[in-house]
Amino acid sequence: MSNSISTLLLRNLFDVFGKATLCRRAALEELWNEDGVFYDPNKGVYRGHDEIDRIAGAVRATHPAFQYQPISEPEELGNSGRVEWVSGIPGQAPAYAGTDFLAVEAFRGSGVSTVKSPTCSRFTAPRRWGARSIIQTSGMISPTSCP
Amino acid sequence: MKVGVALRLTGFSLVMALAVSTFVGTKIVATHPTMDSASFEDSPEREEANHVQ
Repeated sequence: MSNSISTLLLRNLFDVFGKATLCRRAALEELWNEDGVFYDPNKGVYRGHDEIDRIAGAVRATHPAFQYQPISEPEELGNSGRVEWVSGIPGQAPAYAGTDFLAVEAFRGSGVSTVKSPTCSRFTAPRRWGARSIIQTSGMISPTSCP
Repeated sequence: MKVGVALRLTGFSLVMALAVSTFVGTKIVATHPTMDSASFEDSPEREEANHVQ
């Protein structure tokens, strides 16, 4: 399955950096190149599934009740894109805000691409974030039933 | 007649197999989140970055 850049942006936000261990790892392997690199805001560099899984889990563990919510539709330009988001406890004012920048690369695989954990349903309805205006896009991906 | 049909079916199956077995997709090669400087001070990313260092 080929994911659009917008889908990759949203799924990375929700399924990789917004999820607990099992679903995060499955999403990571589906969405990321094996040697993909995550550059954190403090100039840390994490390469490959194991390192990215670890840093995503560590970030998640600091505020497990926080959830990410896009505040605009993802933007695509060439092989890259960005999405602006806020994070915090749903129903309360966002604790902080940021923007994810992402670069993708085409790959050729074999077999039918259905890498997906059976415990991770992906597409659910987005939820409103308190009083803040949230962009509702058709098919937007939101936090799911994963722990 | 039967041989011809069998050969056609075999050829069709091979074409279908090739079509299914090769696909092109996109995967993430890099991401970089930036954060509002004010909000970054209290963010989990900042806490984790301090912890790692």
